[in-house]
Amino acid sequence: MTRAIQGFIKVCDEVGNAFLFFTEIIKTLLFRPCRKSLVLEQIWHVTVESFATTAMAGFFVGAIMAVQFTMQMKEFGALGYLGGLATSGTFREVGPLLIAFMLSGKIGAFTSAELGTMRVTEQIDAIRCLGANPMQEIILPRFLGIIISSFFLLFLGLVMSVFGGMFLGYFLAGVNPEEYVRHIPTIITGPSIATGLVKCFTFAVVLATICTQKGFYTVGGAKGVGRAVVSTAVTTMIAIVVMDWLTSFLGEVLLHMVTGS
Amino acid sequence: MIQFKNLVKRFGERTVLRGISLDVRQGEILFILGTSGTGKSVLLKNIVGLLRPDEGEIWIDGQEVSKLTEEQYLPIRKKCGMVFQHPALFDSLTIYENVAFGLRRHYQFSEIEISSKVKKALGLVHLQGVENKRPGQISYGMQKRVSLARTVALEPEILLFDEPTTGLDPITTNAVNQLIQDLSHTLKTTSLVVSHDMQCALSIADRIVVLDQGKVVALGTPKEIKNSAVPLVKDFMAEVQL
Amino acid sequence: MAAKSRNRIIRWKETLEQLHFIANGSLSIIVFCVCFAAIVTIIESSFHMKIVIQNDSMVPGFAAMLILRELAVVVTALLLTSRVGAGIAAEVGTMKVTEQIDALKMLGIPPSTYLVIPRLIACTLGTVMLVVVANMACLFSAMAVSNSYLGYPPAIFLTAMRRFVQFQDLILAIVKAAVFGAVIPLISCYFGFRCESGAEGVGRATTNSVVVGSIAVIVLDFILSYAFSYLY
Repeated sequence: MTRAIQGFIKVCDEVGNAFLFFTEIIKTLLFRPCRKSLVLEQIWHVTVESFATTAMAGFFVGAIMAVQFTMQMKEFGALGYLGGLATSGTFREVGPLLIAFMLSGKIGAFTSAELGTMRVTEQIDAIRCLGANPMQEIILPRFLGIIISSFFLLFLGLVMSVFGGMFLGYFLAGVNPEEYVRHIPTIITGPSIATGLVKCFTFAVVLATICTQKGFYTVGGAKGVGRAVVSTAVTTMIAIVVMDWLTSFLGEVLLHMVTGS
Repeated sequence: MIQFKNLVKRFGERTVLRGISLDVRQGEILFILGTSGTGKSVLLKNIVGLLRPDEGEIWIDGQEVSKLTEEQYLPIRKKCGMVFQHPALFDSLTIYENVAFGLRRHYQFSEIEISSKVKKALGLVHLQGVENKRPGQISYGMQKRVSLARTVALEPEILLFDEPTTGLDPITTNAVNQLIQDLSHTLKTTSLVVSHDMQCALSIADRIVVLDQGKVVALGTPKEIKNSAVPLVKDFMAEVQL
Repeated sequence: MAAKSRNRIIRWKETLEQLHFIANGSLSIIVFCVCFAAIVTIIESSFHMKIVIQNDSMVPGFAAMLILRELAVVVTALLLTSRVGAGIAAEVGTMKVTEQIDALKMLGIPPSTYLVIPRLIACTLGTVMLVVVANMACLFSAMAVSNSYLGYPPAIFLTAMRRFVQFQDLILAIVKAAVFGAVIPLISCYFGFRCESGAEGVGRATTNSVVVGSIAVIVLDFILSYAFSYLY
């Protein structure tokens, strides 16, 4: 019982820390914005670093979904709908989730390792001693850079998943790419794409906040850096799953309010 | 005892050792000195096969060892005890288990024998009452001594020290140097010490070799080294006089 | 006791400790995550089922299929890649940086078998067990949500499930779990052993093991799903 309470307190602690850090960043953003060139540099850096990984992950996620849907569709004799169904399934639920998982491993781990190394080798203290604000010089550019580029990367991953599904549909189920694409708009509508994009954006913010926070507060040498990376990856994944639920839930509520039912 | 013949070691483009030839005599304490990055530690790791030379030969007790396989190297490593720059204690084991580790692996000792050997080894480095602690719970100086104990527990014929006093305070440094001298005499081992501390080299070494840019620039007894005309050695001596 | 424990290839005590770390330590996180993933699956699939076939009566079966075949096992494996895989890479990397690996070699113990085999066995077993639990938890939460959200009582959920999935789906999920469980520690140990010195080196080894591990999981999942599609 005490263990459960301790666990609960720890969770609250983590969430609170993340929010405090987030408000800190927003404050810095409003009152002491950083140079644009730094942000652009980060965007370029992150995008180049993760482009191939994300594209590959997206392609395979799409392919996996197509494999699973093909089996079902064959049973109902509705192979024509494969394109629409697989794409919609990927776009709305599995795709953003799995690709965001990949990115949390790639960008999150990379950033927290970098910041952690700067912390344990006292580079962050050195910046402070030189009269600069580490929040402004180091954290903010990374935060903005990660949000922008991972939003873009997530979207890229989703697009790649369509290609993955198309590729598989052609080779496994013999669905013509043209027919595959033709059925996408019948099932994917505005709201679907909107949910996908909202999810991508939410995940990007969560990822950027957690990895910069964990990296920034690393303690304890080489071991500490390893620990920071592990805890970043795990925390981000949990946060992403929860946010995934939250966005779906809120989206559903909004839909009901709009349609008036 | 140990002979290097024209040893060359490269890391990619960078040549670290450029033809080292050296004789280590039975039972002596030989200090290897040099500035950082001249390949002192690399030389040491070549002896025990953690690194392999690109050219040249290493003879230990009349056996050429540089081409041996990992498997064939085991008896050589049993003969050598290496004390690393970091304490390199196994985090997951207690101090007792750390020291007993090698004994359990290599010999068929009973638990009572192991216990007495561990006690003896810890006694040699003047440590008592820490057997059940973990490496994280004792000071860095103590960790260093435990790592010495772990090495001498196996009763090696050759002791290799990789910068044993780097990063230690002067008092612990003296204690470790004293330990090196005592251990070498009581256990009658041949000791190689990699260091950049000329002061202690002069006081406890039988012979000193100075490396610069992967080559031997001076070799001799402390007396000979004191009077050497080599510029780098003179720089080292100036440091000591201060 | 001491005589027996010497030079054995498999160190059972270490293996059990690792198993405890991997399975017990990750249990709550994994159950938590897959439950949420299951809820999202139900909500989202009901959304587009309504568009395609105008009703959501197929949602329970469809969701059960997705959970058993993909969701539970992939989410579990990806979580383990970051928790366990990164943990192993950081641990082995730290050992490498602080010369503990060299110390092992000096004491005549091949570090590969000494460190890798316990982790390999523990992770394979642990992942298989976790995936079974994750599947259960996932299905239960899907059942609960379809009861409260879609209004399908458990009986209907179970009947629908039977139409879409069979027992062999669970077996195939276990096969996948075993493959992922074996690959994760191998990749992590590989990067751990190649770790370069300093905090930077450990960071890089850990990051690389997470990235390569997750890519490997997704690619292997595709290959296995493709292969299994001939078995149904």
